[in-house]
Amino acid sequence: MDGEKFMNISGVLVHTIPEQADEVKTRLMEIPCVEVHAVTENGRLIVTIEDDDEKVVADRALNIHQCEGVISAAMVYQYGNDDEDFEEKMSI
Amino acid sequence: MKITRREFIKANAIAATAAAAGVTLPQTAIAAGGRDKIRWDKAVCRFCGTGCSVLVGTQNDRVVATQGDPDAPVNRGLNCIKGYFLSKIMYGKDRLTKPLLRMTDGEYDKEGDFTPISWDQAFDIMAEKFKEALKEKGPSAVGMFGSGQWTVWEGYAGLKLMKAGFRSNNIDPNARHCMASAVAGFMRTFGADEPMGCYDDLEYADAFVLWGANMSEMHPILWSRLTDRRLTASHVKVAVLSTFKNRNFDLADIPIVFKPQTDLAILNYIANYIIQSGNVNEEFVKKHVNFRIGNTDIGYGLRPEDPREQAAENAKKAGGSKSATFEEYKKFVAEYTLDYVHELSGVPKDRLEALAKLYADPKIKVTSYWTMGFNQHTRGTWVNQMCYHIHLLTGKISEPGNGPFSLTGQPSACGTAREVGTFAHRLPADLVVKKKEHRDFSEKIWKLPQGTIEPKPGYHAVLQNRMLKDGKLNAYWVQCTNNVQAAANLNEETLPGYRNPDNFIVVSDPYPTVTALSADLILPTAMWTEKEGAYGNAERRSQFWRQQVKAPGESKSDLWQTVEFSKRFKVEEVWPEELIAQKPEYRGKTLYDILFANGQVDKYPKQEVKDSAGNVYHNDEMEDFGYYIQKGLYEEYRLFGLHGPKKGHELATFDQYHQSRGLRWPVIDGKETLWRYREGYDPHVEKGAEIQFYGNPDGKAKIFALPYEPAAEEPDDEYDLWLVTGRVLEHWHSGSMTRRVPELYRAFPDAVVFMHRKDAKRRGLRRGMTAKLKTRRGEITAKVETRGRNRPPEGLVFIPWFDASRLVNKLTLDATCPISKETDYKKCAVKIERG
Amino acid sequence: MDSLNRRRFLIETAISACGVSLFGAGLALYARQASSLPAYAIRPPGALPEDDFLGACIRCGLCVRDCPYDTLHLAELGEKIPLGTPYFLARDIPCEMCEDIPCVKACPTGALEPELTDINDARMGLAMLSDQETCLNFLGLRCDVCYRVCPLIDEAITLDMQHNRRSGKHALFLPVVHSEYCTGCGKCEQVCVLPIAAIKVFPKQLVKGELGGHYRLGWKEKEKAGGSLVKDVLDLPDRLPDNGLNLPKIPEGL
Repeated sequence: MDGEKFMNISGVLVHTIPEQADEVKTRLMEIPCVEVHAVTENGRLIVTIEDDDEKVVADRALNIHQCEGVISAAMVYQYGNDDEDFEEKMSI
Repeated sequence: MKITRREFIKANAIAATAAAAGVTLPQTAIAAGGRDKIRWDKAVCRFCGTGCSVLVGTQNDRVVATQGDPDAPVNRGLNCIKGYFLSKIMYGKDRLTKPLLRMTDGEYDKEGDFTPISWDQAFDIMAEKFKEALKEKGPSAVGMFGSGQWTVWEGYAGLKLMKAGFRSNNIDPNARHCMASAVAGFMRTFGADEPMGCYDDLEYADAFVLWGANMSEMHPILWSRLTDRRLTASHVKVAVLSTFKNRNFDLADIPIVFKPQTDLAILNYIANYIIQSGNVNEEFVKKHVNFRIGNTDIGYGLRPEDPREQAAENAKKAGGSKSATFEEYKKFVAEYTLDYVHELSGVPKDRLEALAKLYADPKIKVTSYWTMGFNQHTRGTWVNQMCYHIHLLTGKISEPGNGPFSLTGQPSACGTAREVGTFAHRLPADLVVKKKEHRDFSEKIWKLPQGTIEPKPGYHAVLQNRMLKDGKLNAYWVQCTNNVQAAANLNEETLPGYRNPDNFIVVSDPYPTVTALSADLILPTAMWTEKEGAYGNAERRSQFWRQQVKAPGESKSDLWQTVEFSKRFKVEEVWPEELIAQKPEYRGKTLYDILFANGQVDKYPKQEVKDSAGNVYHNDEMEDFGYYIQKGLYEEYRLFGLHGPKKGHELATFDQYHQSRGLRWPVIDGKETLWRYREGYDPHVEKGAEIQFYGNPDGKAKIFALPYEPAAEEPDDEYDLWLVTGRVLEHWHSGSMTRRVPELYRAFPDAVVFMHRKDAKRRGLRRGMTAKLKTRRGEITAKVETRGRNRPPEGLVFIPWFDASRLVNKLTLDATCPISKETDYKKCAVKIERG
Repeated sequence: MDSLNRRRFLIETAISACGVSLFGAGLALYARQASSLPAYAIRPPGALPEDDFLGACIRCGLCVRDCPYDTLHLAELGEKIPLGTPYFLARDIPCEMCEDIPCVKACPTGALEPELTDINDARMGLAMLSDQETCLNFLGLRCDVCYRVCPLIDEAITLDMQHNRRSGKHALFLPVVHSEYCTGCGKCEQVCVLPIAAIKVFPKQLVKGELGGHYRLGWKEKEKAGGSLVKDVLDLPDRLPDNGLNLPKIPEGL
């Protein structure tokens, strides 16, 4: 168990202008707490935002949205709860 | 696998987002939580002798992924389907994690049940049994069976413990079953082991001849290179020889299915053709070749009381020969005419001629490949030699694209078994126990009293099983191999020895193999990247890897086991007084002190094992012994190549190998050697000599006049089919690793018997029906396959031996090449009926 | 961040999410309408065309009983397959292509055509290498498990050997399915080592293309005719110095 009581992790699907996808990726990587995990051929980015503060996550999402070259940013996955039994379930 | 909560959630986030985008991310990227937390380090594939380099991905002390190393010269990022599943071989559900001893009521009992014990208890009983055997019968009563899958230092430590410690030459590797004939052929012809060329020949040759090497399945990545050469250069020709049609034939310009054993005659026909057509490279032959006539009628390496041995004139002088002239050789092969050999082999004349022309034409660069078709042969040494002959007659050798090349089946058959010399008659770097000069040198390196190493070769693999059965070999340790499944004639020769009440059998293995379950004591063993290792592949390339993960439970590497066991013996218990008197400082010492804590092996202090990126790796043996034992062993072993009486075995330093993707020896002045024996390529060749086969004192190779002789057992009225055993691409050897990978198991779950549709029909069998296979030695059942990858001609069947649930070696005959002592797994007589 | 911006973000996110789910619902509907027999379910050898088969099959289960490999199942309630009819899933247990075809022999109604006496003539479906992106052989690895397991190896599946431009010195062995021979037995799909098979058996009509009748493949027609279709065509020699012996050879093809 990591010890964090509250963690917020969101998965965001970012649509970009395909030609600019790589530049967008670079720009997004500069935003704290944001990671780009994949870039698809048609210019979509698989992104996560990770922070302990829910508010920060929302702010970052907006930063992404406003980033040059981004057409839209869709929050696909959001996690923000605490689960005591979690560690046990994870022993695969 | 243990992953943190955060990683898990993040993985979910990535997966869900990717799914919404309609893209699939590789599992590993998701498992890594997006950020690449997998640590990648280089290693070498655990399977065949090709030696594909891989990168091993580790996360939380578990190998989670592998990839072909894209920068590796052998495989450039590729793997075969076994290599693709490397990350799964260590995680079979039935990994052994504790030593297990057969016990009844808390005591060792040969008929008892396997019971978990501690390592201390395991070594107690082992030491007791080994000491008992040594005391009662001397060094010949203890033995070790090792492996071409041992890491270099595991083989070296085993060799040292047996030959220097116990003074017993009864150590032999499973490589005896695999390429001993290649070794004997190389030694008899060139006085030095291993191929002169390298895999680069694949890109330089104009023609390839496959002599009993089903490369398309057994060396899939090399086959891929050969195929590419054939595709991209339209003049390239491929000749395939086999006793049944296999996948190689897809690419064959000259396809040849010959009657078993007649490869000997075909080779002599080619020699004859080269001579008769005036294509002998006379200058080359005059300068670089001697001729001899070899002894004939040499028997079949069976037990001496076997009538076939009694009848053989030279069974006891199989290796003998006398000098001869080219004219005598010419006369000898002259009887192998096209008509005669066509009649004998069943091969159409035009194909025999086309094959002979490839070799004879001075403009065509030919590389010959072979594996078990040549090596597992009662005339294995001869057939290897005969292939060298045709390369020597034409001078097509030791240059890019021209040469004979024996492919190996195991990842370190070359690196460990052959180079370290873990055979009953060998010492490191081509030295042999028979020669006093070689023993003296080894004793000097090992700081032993003179006379420690016994001059008489020990029991080879097949003889070990016979001696176990006869009760002459009583304390026996098997490491890293599954010999009960692998050795021929299981019912009559192997199992009786393992279960002989006079014997104590120890088997070290990660899994409960057939061999482990036949033992009295099982030791759980660390495998592949659970330990630091080094392998040497078929092209003389040595590759190193670091320990990536911890072994499960109480498993320990073979190295640790061998070295730790040596602590149990006081020198007085194993050496006679006259030896100890030469080195009084050894009095009261243990074999560990003398062999390992000898100021050389323990020279390198404990250190952190780090890669250039700063990642730190385990080294459990260094942790336990308190010094960098792998480095110490390797650097000591290296002295044999640097200063030994046989030149041409120089290896790079331990540290250089850890930094490289493998180097081809001899490594001299910081350079690899790609083609040996030729000036410009091999620094050992003197200036102006052009070619020097410096393994022989006069620098010349030898051509022996050797005949065709029939197989040990041929089909007759009752046992009316030839039985050929072998492998399939999906499984490696006895399947102890690959059968534990579910996908590979599903791909080829059970061994089937490949046979001709007509042969099946005659016996009332159809595809998919169960057949009973019977030989004079045993019987098994298997399903009939009349379609599929292998297409035997009428009169011959093929069955793979990977399947532990149908032990093919109940059927096979333990006939060997009398010179190399390698078993012929390709020829015996079988009858098949409805099961 | 001001609350207005935040609201804007949430609204926009919601719009995107709706778009995705609407699209998903549409797909599901489409899938339900598209076929009565799902593409993954394969009928036994000799099955009549699906409509005829459904008319002829009396759901007796005899073919299932007589299958020696437990390949065949009867569709149960809740499955998307018409209730009580026989089918198999290639990925689980494929058809072993028994020479005596016991399932056909067992069929009392001819829903499995009794004319099928040579199992090689069965056309249960057609294998298709549906994902070249994950097929290990397309990536240059030496898997070819589907090829070697094919009961009609070198006929129904062949390996097309090509140069691997990435590695520069290896070959690619590309599995190619030939509808002329493929029986749709599904062995290839079963053994594909990937977590999701890259080669799958589909109903033939879903995957098979058709050449236009107005065009013929010249090289095939020539082969069929045993020579050129147009006889006695005049070809004059080319004027070249040294009879062209010094010119590099132009590849002649197969």
